[in-house]
Amino acid sequence: MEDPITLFKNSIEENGGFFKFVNRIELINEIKKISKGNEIMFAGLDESIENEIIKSDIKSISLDKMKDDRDLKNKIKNINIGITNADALAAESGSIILVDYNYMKSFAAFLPEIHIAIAYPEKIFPGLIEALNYIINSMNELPATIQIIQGPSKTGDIEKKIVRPSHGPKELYVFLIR
Amino acid sequence: MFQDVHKKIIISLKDEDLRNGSREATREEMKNRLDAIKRHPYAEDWAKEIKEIKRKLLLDPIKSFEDFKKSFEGEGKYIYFAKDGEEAKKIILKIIGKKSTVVKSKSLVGEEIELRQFLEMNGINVYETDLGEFLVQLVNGKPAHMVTPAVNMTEGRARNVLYPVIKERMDDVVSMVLGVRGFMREKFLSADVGITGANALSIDTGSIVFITNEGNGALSSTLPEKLVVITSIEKIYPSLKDAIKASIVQTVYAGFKNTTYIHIINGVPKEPKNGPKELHLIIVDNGRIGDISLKETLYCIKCGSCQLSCPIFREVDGAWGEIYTAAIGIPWTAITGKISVARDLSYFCLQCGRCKEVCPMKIDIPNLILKIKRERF
Ligand code: SF4
Repeated sequence: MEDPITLFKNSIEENGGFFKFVNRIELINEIKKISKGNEIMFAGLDESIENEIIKSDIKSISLDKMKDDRDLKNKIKNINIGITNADALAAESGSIILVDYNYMKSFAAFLPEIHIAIAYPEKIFPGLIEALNYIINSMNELPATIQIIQGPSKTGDIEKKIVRPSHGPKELYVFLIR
Repeated sequence: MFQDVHKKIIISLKDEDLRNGSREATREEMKNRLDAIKRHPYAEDWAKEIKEIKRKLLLDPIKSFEDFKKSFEGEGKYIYFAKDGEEAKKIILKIIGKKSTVVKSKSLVGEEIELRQFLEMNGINVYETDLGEFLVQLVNGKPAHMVTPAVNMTEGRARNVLYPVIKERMDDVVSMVLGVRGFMREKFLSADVGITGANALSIDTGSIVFITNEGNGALSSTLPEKLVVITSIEKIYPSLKDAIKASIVQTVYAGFKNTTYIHIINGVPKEPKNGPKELHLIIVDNGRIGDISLKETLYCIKCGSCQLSCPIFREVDGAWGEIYTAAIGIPWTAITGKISVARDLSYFCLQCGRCKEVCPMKIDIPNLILKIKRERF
């Protein structure tokens, strides 16, 4: 039996995503490399990670702080990198689960060309059903939405040829924090 | 009329391009499905579980609806039961209001009741955001297959269909998809209403579950202020876990090793300034509850594998049927459409039984078709 981290890595890579096991310093460097000086948006991150992003020279905005802005859609529509936490991961299927009370995580995960999800090893479960069980049991109240993401967006609608991206992100990264 | 079906089939047999498209797409169907099951070996057991669950729930679908309704209700959430397509369309028109722009994701029930055509007739701008459905919309046609609606369209034909709206050079499938992405993005951002179908509903959490690969469902269910979900009564399951399992079984048997997105919608945010403010769920009966003799049809989770494995479908694709085509499409036509139309279609079935072998719900499709063949005028 493979360990859950390797299993998750294999699954998400098979699904077309990228995976890396990093420490906090490496995480910030990875985000810098991916964002190449462009602005990023984030939602649902741990305060400590949020602070490190803000402290770094990465240009960033917090969607959690902007959730009541009525013009939000227009302000973020051209931002091409979105970062969210992952509330749980499922190793077998390579799933990233987002628990979203106000749609900010959904915006950060679906609108940009690149989605980066940040997770901790203790949030990896063997299968999707176990991961969902954990999510449901740990919630006091149901969120507006739970999103399960299993790769970058794709379509096979023309002659079944698989093409990425379709309407969602082209690239999906999962960084697991040591 | 039997002759009409015959005529349509002859026309499609003469269309070389269409036949090549259909053959190309169905060539690997068996391999795709077996590969997907190998990747998710538990899907076979889940399929059995789902069948047993459905068997119990379908003994009293009205009670399932009432139970679901109780757990669904909440602030900003509205639920409707529509006995047929006409009623569903009236409800939806009232929710949407005229002069609005709609971004729509795939909904087979929407196709069944010809929702898009009805909304367009009422002056509403509707954009089918699923690539396959968009191609079908542009040619003013109907989907050929449950999961891949434009399964019969070759690359060349797709390019010709897209060019008038995308107006860019598109050398390959990648550039076509990117062209559509750019075109649709503006629509997602400015639309008033998102419409989507659902794969499953769960009684324990009052959730709506739907899956997409393209991310069109992600955008149409999160960006517009109103979200309208249309589905049918046989999609209700006791728990969220069952609903997820049913959705995954559907994609695995459709031959996908991986589905990109599983969306679970429970409600609208509290005091929302962004994201949907209203969630409307329309559950359609349209002949499902009343029909006892073809009841087994309601086990169908619409994976489409019976269509792809059907030797007739491979040759004539969407020409064999109206909204629901080939194999299980015939009993579905009998239930949701006219029995006489279903009977005309049924005569083309060879009773070869391949559909029954591939069906995850082990529905005796040939027997259902036989029953329809024997139906009196
Ligand atoms: S009848 Fe069976 S094989 Fe055909 S679409 Fe329904 S579930 Fe799939």
